[in-house]
Amino acid sequence: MYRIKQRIILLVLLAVFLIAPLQARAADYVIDSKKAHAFIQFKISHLGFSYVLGRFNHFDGVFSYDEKDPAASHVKVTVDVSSVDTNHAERDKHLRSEKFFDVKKYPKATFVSSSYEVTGDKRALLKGMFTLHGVTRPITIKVRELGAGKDPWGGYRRGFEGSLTLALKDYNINTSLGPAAKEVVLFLSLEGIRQK
Amino acid sequence: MAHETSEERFGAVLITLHWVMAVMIIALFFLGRFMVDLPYSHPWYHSAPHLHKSLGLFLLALLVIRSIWVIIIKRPALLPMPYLERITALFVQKSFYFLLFGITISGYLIPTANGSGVELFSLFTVPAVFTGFEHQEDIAGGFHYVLAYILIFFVLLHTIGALKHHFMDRDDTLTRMLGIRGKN
Repeated sequence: MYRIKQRIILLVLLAVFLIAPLQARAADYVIDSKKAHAFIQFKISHLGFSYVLGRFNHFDGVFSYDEKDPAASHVKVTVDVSSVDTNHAERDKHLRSEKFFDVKKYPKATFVSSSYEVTGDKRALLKGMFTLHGVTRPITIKVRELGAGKDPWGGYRRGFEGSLTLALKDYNINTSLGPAAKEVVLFLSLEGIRQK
Repeated sequence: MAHETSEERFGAVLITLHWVMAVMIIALFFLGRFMVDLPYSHPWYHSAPHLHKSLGLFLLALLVIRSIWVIIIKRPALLPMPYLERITALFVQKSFYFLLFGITISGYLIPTANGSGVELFSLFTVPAVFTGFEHQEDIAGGFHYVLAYILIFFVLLHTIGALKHHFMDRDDTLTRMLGIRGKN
């Protein structure tokens, strides 16, 4: 009996320690990737003739945003790189291989913001460190604040879109796709649900 | 000279299937090995996989025919040989069927993973029947790769066995698969 009590106390303590940090971020938003109101898409030139478009299907992230102090905003996103989807199974397999993302070795891509600089009406520059293919580099995302408010189901949401251009070479992805395809443009559309 | 399978002899159909498939299997292995390393700008970047897939589908069709054939018509028994050799020979020969089904089916599951069909020599498209399994193309690709290497190892064993019987044991193992009347 004593032993069981001890275990229960231990479990309660453990639960408190695990849940406490989540509650401390009460004003934060969780990116609604579960219900797919968030998208990470990219496009890259195909030989200079057109674009291949793709997206990452699985990712999650959190951000904090205070209307009174936007500069204090903070974002963290983790992408499951193996969820790359260009609507072509063989191409996706190829992209996951060692020739490109090498997802066995580098399964996650992460972005952790360092600053948020408001540049104009509903516009900002989000800076931070982006890790892909084992390489971490500073990036700047051009952000547009889209909107915020109550949703019809009792929640509160806030959305942004952003874009940036990355050079494959910078992330040590060196398999050549031709001179027209050295850079990839990312487009982000992220909606967060405020945590109670 | 066409003849039928009997207790001692292989018929023309089995002999033809054996050698056509043998050539295709070896060609497919090296074509597969070669095509995955082609750079994007290589002229064969699209045509090599196209050929590989077409030949692979064709091989699967031949494999189905051959499997039915050997079920209906009993193939001739192995020639007398020591127990261990007999077990090895039979194991390798039977494994070919399982390996080949595994390789051709897993190969088919790669490009069809998101619902696209596979073309057979631009003649017609075999539709995707099993799709949408999470990371299907990667899992199928893994099986395809490993099984292909096991297969080519067994091809090597099979070849060494055939040559050993021909040159060392001097029996009809190889000649009867060539359709040549043996000395015995």
